[in-house]
Amino acid sequence: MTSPSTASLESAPSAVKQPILKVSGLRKVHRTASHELTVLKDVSLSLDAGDTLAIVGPSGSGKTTLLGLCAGLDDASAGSVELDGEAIEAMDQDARAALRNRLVGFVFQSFQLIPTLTAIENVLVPLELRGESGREIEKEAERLLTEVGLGDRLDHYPLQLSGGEQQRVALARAFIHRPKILFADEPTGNLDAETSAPIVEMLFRLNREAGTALVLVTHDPALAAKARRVVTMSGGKIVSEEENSTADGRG
Amino acid sequence: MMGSNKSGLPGSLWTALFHPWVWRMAWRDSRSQRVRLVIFSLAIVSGIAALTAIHSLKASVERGIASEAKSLLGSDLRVSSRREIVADDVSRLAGMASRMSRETSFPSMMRFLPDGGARLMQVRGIEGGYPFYGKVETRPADAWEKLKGEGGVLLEPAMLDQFGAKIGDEVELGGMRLRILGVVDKPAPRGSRFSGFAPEVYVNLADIERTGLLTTNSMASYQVYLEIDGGPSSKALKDKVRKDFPDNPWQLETPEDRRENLGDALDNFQQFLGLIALASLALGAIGVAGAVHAHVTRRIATIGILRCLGCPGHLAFGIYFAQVLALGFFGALLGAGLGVGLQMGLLGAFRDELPISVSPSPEWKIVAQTTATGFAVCCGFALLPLMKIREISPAVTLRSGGGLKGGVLRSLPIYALLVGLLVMVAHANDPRWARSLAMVGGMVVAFLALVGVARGLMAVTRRVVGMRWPYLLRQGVSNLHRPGNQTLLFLLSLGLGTFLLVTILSAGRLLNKRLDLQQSGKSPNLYLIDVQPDQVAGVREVLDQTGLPVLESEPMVTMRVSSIRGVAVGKAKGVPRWVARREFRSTYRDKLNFTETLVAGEFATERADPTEVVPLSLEEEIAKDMMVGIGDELTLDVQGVPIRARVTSLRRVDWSRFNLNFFMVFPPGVLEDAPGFHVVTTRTPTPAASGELQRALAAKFANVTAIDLTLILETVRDILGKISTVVTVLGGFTVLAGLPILIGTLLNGRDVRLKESVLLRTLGASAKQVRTILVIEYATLGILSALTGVLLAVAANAALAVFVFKASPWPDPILLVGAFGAVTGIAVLGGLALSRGVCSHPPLEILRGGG
Repeated sequence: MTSPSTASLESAPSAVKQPILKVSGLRKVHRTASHELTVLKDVSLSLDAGDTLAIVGPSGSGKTTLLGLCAGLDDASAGSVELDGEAIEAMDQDARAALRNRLVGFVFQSFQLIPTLTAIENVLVPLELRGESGREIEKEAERLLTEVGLGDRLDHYPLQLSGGEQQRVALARAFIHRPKILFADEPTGNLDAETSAPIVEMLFRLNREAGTALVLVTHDPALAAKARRVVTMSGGKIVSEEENSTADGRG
Repeated sequence: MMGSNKSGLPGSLWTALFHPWVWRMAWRDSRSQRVRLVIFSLAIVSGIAALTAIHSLKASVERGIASEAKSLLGSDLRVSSRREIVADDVSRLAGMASRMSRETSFPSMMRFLPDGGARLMQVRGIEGGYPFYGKVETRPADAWEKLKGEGGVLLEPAMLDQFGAKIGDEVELGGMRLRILGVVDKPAPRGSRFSGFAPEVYVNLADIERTGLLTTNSMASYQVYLEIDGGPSSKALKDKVRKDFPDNPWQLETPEDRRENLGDALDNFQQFLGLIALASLALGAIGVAGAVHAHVTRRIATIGILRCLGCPGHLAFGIYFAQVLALGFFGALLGAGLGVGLQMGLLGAFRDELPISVSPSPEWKIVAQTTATGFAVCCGFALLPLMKIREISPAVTLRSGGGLKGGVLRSLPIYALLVGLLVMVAHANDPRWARSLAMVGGMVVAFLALVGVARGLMAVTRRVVGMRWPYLLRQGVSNLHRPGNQTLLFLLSLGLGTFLLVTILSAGRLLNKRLDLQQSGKSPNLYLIDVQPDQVAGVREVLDQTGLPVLESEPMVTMRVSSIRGVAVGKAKGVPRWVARREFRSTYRDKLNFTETLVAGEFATERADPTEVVPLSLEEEIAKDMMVGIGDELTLDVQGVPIRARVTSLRRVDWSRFNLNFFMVFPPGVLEDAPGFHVVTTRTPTPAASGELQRALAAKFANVTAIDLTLILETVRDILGKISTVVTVLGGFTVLAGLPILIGTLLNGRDVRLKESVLLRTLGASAKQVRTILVIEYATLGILSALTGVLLAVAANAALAVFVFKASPWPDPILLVGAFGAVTGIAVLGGLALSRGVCSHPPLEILRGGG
């Protein structure tokens, strides 16, 4: 266990490797007519390529807000986020979207599949958004879906799939475009223990095979323990960080 | 990815719209929503169908009216002269036309044989194929043809009744004995309304020339009728005749000149059509905006996911814009087809009743123009919700909730574009900019008023609802201001819909009322002239005895204008020559009649000072012709006595009603001693009644002449009656055009409230409780939408009544109450239907499926 000081939370600078994610002094304030609510207070962290990081903490501690800001889904009130060396606060929404498509994969608690697309169409979207088309990418999508056990459900719509199956489609979609970093928000939050286990296994396996960095928000200590680093948040601040030397990222 | 085709996605909205991925996504996205998207199409279909039908109908009617105007004249050009048109001129005129016909008419005594009853008649001697347009209707049907072949006479039906004669009897005209071939039910068109003061008798022109009757008659008028077949327009022909025969003081008349006979009814009808077209298009466009708003709202999560996965804003926008374009395109085609069908159906259905011969054929140019315009306006309205797609944050994937956001300021260019488009559509209907701007301005004001009411309602409910209120009431009322409320959208769509519908229906009623008035029993069909002042009481008595009303009774004095502003009328600059020649029939009275409106000055009710110049009221058009205005002085020659008069008022006269009217009206106390006679007007229900009256009058007052206008009036009345029917049918059609708005609004409400109501059910709310909450919300929205819409329509109706239709600004209370009740009722029924949906499905089904 290391000290919870902010400075020490940053990984040791590497002469050869640039961090895939670098967060500095991040702050998020929600303003309403009557009052201000600070949900993130000066959060800093960084993550190397291929590394795994779990963010844990009680509800309302700012985990999901931090994840959203890291992925450029929301605007910070102060501070900066760099993804693969590119500062996202300087980008407009479309530039951020392009960056996400190039670098980022997502897995959400509520799966977030597009209901009008079949499983394979959902998986193809990130590549199609790059302008790719053709049989080759369809084969890759089929391969990934087969890998997550849905080789026979390619043309099913999300409503025709169970929660676990939907999350497996989401996993295939998250990896199809070989992102450099994957953000997972409570990936097993909507699933029971039995369904969760293979999802977690797949998440870490695909992550390892693709060499993708993983940022995982979870309430589940067992899941968090599988990440190499675990940061704990409370009241909008990082209160501790652990490095799990036993974690091998194998799920 | 290796081996894949990588073309890169388009970098702009414009290129996105040509990219297959965007269209593929648009197709995929439509999968679960096709029924709703059809509703969106319905809004376009109805808007464009109405626009196409109305504009096509307008074009057809215009063409029909033009051809009807030809029937009213019977030819393309009528050349008329008080002097005989010499043979050389006749043949030169004939050379300019495809067909030519001649008529000579004059008054002459006709004696019924054998008992010798005599009557002053207006003899019309006709040769050739006249009328070239329209048909003379006779009994027996072949009598008109017989007249041209074997000779004889045709009479008005009342003449046979009056003299107890029958077809086959003989009459004596000049030195000739001619057989009565039949009666005329629909006469050949005449030169003007008062071409003669006597009943007409038709004879073959060759017979007249044989009798020599004309040589002694100086009251004759000579007509040459020309038909042009595919040649120049009537106006061009008129100009050519004017140029080629500069020295002949001929009166030339074209069908366009004749259109004036229909008065302002046609103008009003055209304006009404324009209003309906604009309103139907706006209704369709509001329906489109509402349906697209509902569709995009349901797609917020999907758009958030796409944004999250790296989809740029313009591509997300492009997907839904592509859907709008595709559906809009097919909707527009369907609408255009429906519009053509509607136009042809309407024309086909009323063809036989129509005196206007309008062929029910499509007006393709109009169809193409209106379809393109309608498509542009509907897609323009769809941009309002579509623009908000760019505001959807990818963060909705982490925390869902909230509706479509987007500032009004960012949409301002779209609003400006839409207002511009609507102004152009309005301007195409009515070339007067002030009116086009006023119509669209009215819609903008209604829009702003409804936004104001919605915002006010939200502010008020936010403040007044307290925790002490009963739960159901509190919940229902609070729904009006809480996040995800539908107050603004509901008021805008249903309120604007109500406003436009009630405005159209009210305008239709205004117009119908006006047409009724023109056709009403107040319009006379029999003029009794030459009634001497001491005979007025006696004539009234005769009318009373025969059970006929005295509609008007006014003195008439003839006079000429001798000088204008002190300059002899023949030398007055710019004043046409006919002013000097014209014999003005004038009257005196102390008030305006119901067909007159004061447009300038003050109507003099008395001559204040006998030594002063006489105050005079002029009809506004004759004042323009004479180039005089308020304050100008005229010298009038009243049968040798000069009278100085000053124009103190100008009147607008509705000539289309055939009521007794005059160009010049004097106050009492000026003309009483001048030689003149009275004119009495009445309305006879049948030719027999007219004959009976004329017999009774002939027995007591032989000098009194009756002029029967029944036949002319019937033609005009037929046209007005037809217009009235079309107005009613089209007004009803706009109600259908409003239907998609209603469906769109209710569907949107379903999206907003379904899940929430199901949650309440899950928490233990009874069906009745859910129903009460929904009904409170929907009833409040319905009442306010209906009330605001109806009040705005009352204002619009008053403006239309005063500025366009020149009618009473008071709307029909039954219509207002009916519209208010119907809209409120439909809103409440919508709430009830929604609660039924909530209670008839297992909560889990809806919670899982997202509604």
